[in-house]
Amino acid sequence: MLVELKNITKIYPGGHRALNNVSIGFDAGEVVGLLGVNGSGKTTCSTILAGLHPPTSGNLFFQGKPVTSDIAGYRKHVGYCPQQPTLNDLLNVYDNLYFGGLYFGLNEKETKSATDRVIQIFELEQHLQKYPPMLSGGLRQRVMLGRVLIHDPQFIILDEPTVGLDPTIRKKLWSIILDLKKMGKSILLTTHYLEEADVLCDRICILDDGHILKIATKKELKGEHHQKDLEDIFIKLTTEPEEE
Amino acid sequence: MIKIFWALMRTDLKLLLTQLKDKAIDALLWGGMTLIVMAHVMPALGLKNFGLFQAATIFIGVVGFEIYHQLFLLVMNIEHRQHLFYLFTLPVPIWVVFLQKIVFYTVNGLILSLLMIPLSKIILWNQMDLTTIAWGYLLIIFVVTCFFFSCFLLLLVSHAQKTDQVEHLFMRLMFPLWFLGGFQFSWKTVYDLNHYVGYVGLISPYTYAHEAARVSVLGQNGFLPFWICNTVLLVGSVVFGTIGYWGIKRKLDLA
Repeated sequence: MLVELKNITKIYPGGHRALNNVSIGFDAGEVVGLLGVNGSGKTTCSTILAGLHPPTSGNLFFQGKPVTSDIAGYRKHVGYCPQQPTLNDLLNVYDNLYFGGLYFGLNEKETKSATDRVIQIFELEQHLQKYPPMLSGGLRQRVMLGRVLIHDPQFIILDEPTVGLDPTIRKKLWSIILDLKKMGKSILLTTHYLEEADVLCDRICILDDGHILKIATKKELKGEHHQKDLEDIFIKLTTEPEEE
Repeated sequence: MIKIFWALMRTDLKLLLTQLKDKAIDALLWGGMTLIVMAHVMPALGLKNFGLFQAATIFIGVVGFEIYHQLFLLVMNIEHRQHLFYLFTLPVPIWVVFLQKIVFYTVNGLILSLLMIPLSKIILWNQMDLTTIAWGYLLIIFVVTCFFFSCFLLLLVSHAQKTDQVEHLFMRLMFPLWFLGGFQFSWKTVYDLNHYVGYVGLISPYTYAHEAARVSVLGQNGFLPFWICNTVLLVGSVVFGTIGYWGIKRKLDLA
């Protein structure tokens, strides 16, 4: 396993239990889809995996070693794209990407070449001098994704990355995710679009109220529930407890 | 770690350069107006000329306004989970991000403070003899004050939950500390008037910054000892900076 969450529980100050004994592993070259309704714990899970927030209990492992002793070293291998824009509004697109490289310890030469690479991947050539507040939601998201990839992380966390993207860019992002997978990157994708999860993910993890309801490959899920559509399985799984 | 620290500094310094003209205009306007009134208008009312007395502390006011600006930006950043949260995902311990901010705010405050020296000379002219100023002392208290307020800023950020509270925090805490901390009078003046009020004045960090700055410009006589003021500010920097850092870390639940 490249990254592994073991028995993670997260209780926020105030007592809200966002995650309850969650365990997930991520292999190299694997895309895991994290699905769940709003408030199910997807973002909490992402932020713990990103090394942003600590779990209340449980452990996070990277290449078999607990990351608690060297969280900063672990972050070097992680690229985290949160839902909300975290670009520096006072820097233009180019500088946001460029400094993103320097922040992860790349030297000037590596940073310049990495910046040029992501500019090309995300077709940002026409927008380099623009500032984030001038960008459309989709364009801003492309810059965010570019910045995530700039230091060539091994583990990539994408928290609802395609929200607000037009279909063309969304499909482009899908092909980038599949390319990254081929390159051996491990990816966590949280999404509300089940069609997206169906296309991109090798395994699906369904979270509900901080618990893992199911974690399995798409084939296993579809076979077990005798359904072809992931959406039907998701609805069935997330509504079953209420029916009982 | 040093590489990343420097990259963070480079970003902030680059942005400072683009904003410096506006910041300088604001600081010079406020500082200039205050000095003109104190040095040239008040004496016309028959009051003693406080020009040089005021010039010694005008830079602290400038640093205070800059702190207010930075406090607002940081709280807004936290409230809307903006760029600062990205910095918390960098491959450095969280304290490095805050240390870099403290160093940057110190440099930022220092640049604006230094602008007050030529401004004071131009406005006060013959009232300000540059040869009598203890420049070494002045530089020390400039740096120590800017460092102190940068650390104090962390404490304020740890207490301000939302941007609309920043103004209240400034008006209810910072303004009384600043104004009653001897912006326009020496600590001894108040102490001679009422010992208890004098002791209360010792609570304000501004008192030490103002007193030490006046020692640099006007000499030690009549003011709190220079080195004690610096020591208090440095100890305060460590204490407030540490409490502020842990407060923010706890508030934001950072790893």
